[in-house]
Amino acid sequence: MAMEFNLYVLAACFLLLCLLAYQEVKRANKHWLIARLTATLLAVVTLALMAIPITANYESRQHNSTLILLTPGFNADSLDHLPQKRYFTDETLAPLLKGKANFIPDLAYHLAATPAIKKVSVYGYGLPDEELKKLENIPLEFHPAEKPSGIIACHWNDQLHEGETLTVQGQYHNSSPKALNLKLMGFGQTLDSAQITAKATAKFSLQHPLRQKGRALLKLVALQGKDTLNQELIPIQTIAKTSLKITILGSSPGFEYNFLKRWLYENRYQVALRNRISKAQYSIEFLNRTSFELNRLSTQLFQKEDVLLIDQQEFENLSTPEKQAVKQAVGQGLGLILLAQQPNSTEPWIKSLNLAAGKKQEKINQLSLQQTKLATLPEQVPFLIGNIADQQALVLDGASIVAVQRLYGKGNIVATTLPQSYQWSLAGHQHDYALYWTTLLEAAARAKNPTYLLQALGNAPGAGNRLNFTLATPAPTVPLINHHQQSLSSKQNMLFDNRWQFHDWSFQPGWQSLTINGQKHYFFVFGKENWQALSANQRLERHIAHAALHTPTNNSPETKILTQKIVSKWWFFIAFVFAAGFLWFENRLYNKN
Amino acid sequence: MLLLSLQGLALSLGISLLTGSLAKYIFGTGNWFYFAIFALVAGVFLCFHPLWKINEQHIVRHLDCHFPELEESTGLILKPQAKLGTLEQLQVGKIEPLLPKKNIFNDLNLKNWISYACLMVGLTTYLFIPARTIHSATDQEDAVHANIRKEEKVLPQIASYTVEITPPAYTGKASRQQNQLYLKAELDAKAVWSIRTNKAIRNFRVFFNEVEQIRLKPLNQDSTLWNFSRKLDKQGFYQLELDGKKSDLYQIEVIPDYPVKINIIQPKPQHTIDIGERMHISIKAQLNDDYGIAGAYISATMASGKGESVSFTEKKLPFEISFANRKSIALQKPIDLRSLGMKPGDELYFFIQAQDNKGQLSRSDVYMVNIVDTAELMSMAGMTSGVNLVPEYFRSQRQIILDTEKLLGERSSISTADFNKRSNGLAIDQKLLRLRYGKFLGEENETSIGGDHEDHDEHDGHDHGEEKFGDVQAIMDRYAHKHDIAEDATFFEPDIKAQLKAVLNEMWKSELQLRTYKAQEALPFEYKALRLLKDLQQKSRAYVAKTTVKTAALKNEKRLTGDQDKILAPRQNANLENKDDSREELRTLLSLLNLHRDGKAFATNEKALLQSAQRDLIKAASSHPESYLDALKSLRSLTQTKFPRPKDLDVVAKAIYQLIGTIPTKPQPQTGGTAKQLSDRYFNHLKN
Repeated sequence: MAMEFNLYVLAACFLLLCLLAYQEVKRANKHWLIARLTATLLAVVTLALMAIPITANYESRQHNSTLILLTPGFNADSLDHLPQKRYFTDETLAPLLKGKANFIPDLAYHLAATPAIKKVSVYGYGLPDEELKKLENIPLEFHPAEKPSGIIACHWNDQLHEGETLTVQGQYHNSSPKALNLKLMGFGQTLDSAQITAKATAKFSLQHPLRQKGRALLKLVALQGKDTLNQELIPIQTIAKTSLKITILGSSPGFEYNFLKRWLYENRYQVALRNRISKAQYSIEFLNRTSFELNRLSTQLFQKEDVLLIDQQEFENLSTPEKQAVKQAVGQGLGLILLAQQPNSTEPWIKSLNLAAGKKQEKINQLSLQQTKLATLPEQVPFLIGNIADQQALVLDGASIVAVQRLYGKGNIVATTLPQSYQWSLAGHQHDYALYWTTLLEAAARAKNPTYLLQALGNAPGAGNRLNFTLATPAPTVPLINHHQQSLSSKQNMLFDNRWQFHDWSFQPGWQSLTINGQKHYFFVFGKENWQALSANQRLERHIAHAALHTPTNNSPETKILTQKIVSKWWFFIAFVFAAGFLWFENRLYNKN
Repeated sequence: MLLLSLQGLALSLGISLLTGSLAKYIFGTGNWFYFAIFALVAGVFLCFHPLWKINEQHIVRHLDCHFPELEESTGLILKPQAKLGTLEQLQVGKIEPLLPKKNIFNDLNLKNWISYACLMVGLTTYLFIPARTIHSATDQEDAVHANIRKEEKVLPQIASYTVEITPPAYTGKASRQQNQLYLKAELDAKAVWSIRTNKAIRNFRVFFNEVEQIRLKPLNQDSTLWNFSRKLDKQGFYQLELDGKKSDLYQIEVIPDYPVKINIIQPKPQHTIDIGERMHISIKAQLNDDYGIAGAYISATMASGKGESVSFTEKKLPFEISFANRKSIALQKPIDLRSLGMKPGDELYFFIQAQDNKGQLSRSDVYMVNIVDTAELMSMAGMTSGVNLVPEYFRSQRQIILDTEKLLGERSSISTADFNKRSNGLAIDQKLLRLRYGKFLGEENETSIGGDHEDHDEHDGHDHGEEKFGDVQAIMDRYAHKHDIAEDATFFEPDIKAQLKAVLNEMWKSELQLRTYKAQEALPFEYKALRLLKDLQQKSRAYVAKTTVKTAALKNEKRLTGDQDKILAPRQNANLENKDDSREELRTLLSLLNLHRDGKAFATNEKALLQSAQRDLIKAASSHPESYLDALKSLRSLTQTKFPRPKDLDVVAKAIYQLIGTIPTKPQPQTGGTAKQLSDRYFNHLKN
């Protein structure tokens, strides 16, 4: 297109030149003919050049320059030897660096405007993420500041069941020469504390069994003597309690069932208990629930139950269709707790436990649940569960397994060989008894469909930042999300149709609420002053990673730059005006005819 | 000039000491305050009297001003002689004798006296006041009725009030008065409140622990004088109500009287008096009480006798000391066990019982002293019991001990050779005995060193008198050679055999000592062997097991085949009725208190929660006012004020946190993934 246009222009100009030259030659007045011809040629050529853009390539040699960016945490002394000018992008540094460095309001613009910048040197903790993204195409040299003193990593579960134990874990970097105390405080008192030794990065784990119901804001305070060095907020909220529906099938009445029944009853769980007392005779009890038919077991019966507790003998006593119903129900999510009673069984589920006789001992005194040690039981475990790959140990006796959990379809199978856990209850170790059965029941219980579960992504959502959320809903229908009377739109997860993602902005620190399908949900927004050491440390790590990927190439300090420039049309216009003016002026002055 | 600076120094020092001491007394400021005041006063003084500026011109001017006889010419004296004109020289000559020698600074005298007086006053306050503050500080610690509960809120209607506390008699304390409604008094003290109101009150009520109320009657016509009393027998708090207007809550703290603390220093809880030790113990004890000890005695019980014929005698042993309501007393009592009638083998149990002046009894742990019985070891009681099979051998070991002791006793009167010979003889006896016991373990005596026959003769020589004591078996043994009977080897239980071996071992050692003529060293082994043999004797008692009951054999094929149609299966339904939900409410409130730390006002329904928590707190405060009363006050202020103060919230939250206590663990289901097919499919593949 352009080429064709140029051709037409050239052709037209050539014709024009020929015509004008002919006119000149034919003109009577031969005064300054050569000059006039030259002027004509010039006029036509410049005219053509005004239509056709002309580019010029020229080469330049440039000194490579480094942009020095100062970010919070830089060490002023380390900059003294640097001759270059310094810049900063963080407004909060302005009072500190007034007159010493220049402020760059927009880093991307600055980089584009000064192509001579071939390298960026960042001093201090680093730039915020969005600023770092702008440096994607330019080598980065990072001069990290010293690791910030304070909490450099911290995590806790902010949505817990009532009575659950909150665990706050993290790392503290103590650069001071004195040890300090890290305290978890709330409700007007210290809930837990840890000591951080001097000049060390120490891991800490603070625990607090929740006592409140609802939201609470705890504090993580670092104290050195009486001076508060750091204070961070730990927001937590509790999830409402849910009950469990438990069916217990026993081959004979016994203390084990009696104690378990009473414990569940007093804690308001819905229990159906069936004990075989003779051939086809059962003693049936319904606690905290309405009665239903329990003589015959079916899949329908198990559909609404959360846990089925059955002993080995009773399980073997079940008829084949009943066993099938149990298996099917477990596959669909029912939790099954098997009380194993003897190692020799033809039942495949029990066979697969690889039961073996335990060694003789008077008492079992090394029982432990994950990390917690349980009280001594006077009875001994008659046999132990073999170690198989696809099962997870729940209760251990020293190194040998007493209770395990394994998956079957959607459900869980929990097996235990502990025959007389009620001994704990008798000996007054109510807490251990509760802990043992809580572990077994929680491991087995049918997973509840999620009610609304709102989670803010990122470590510490801060005010003035974009907050990203994921939301789990019970049904895959689009949730209506409202924040401050404004509805937010959400994006559905590709794989899980009940998961949604959306984002929001918040400028106020503190508890904020969202309305999701008419229900209020809370989340916490931190202020700018919270988690500074943590975010500084994260920036440090990200910059170090980024700098490793974008190492500056160490070649000559100069580069050749080839620049193509369009010659401005004004030059040709001026030349054209001069040429045309000369022709006109000559004609006026020397017009003899 | 010197005078002036001294004056300044004295003035500033005096003022600084005075104000510093006063400030320290009133506000409790530190020593720095003295220096600050000193610097300030000295600075001010120097401003008015710039000492460094004083020169001759100043002096001249001063003299000219104050002494008219100098005729304003003092300046001339300073001029050099040469420069003076004739007239000036004449003037100098005139005034020079008139120059005052004394009292130049007459006017300064008064100021000096003032500043010195200031210094004196300052010094006295400095020396006097700190002493008083220190004194009061120690008083606070000592005094049970610490009058330093600050900031008590009293209703404006009350003009004045006093509380008279009369401690109970046992404390021995005089009654005291306090101008404070917070009470800290001894248990069972009587408190009398006298309250004067500044206007007539129609309705005056007092609430104790929020439940008990007393309506008061005025003492005078104007209804401004009120009086009530109460015996302080438990902790709690009270509140005044004047015409419906309620006061703050005032705590009643009760100092309980603890019973006497008894600490027995000597003897040890288990004391054994060995053979040869003096039968004498000394009891040392330290008794402490908070008000006074009324009395104490040792209660001793002696147990004597053995088995079923044990007899106990009890005795009260008083301490010969006057207690005289002393708070602390060290007791000591030597006891001669023989004079108590104790013999070897008896045991003495004793404890100290003490009574404080309130009448509370307390007693120490029971301590035990036993006297080892040597006679028991030597007694023949076990041998006559009949069940044992080896009576004669015990006697022999006993005989060896007796002989050894006899030999040791005669050592000084016989020659060494004779002693050695007899010692060797005893060793042979010992060996013989050992071989006899060895028979029970299946050892062959013929193969042993020395041969049987000779030894036997030796032994016979010793034990001749006992021969007829042997039973028929023993006589039969002479004629029957039965050491090869297999039964011998398995005659005893393994542990009896082990003990027999131990006996033989001891005999070996004793024999060794005897053979090396160390009769004294042999004795312990002999005794030990005898003791082990006695134990063996006790062990060889027979046990007969009970026979079992025989029942008819079960027919397995008939089990569970009965007709059960008419038997109804037991069925039970039970629902746990709603317990009180106060715990739940407290837990909700705990969260609320945390959320309102930002100063938001409580909503109406939240205030209802506060009200219900108040009930729980009142209950807690009446039993433990020291930990919950402040929280109760704070809770009241939360319900009354519009915007909660963080301090109140913290105090209440802390109390409620304590009230909730630990929550027992309960199983909770996990929240799982979606209920849709995709995950179902995935999980179905997990079946094995």
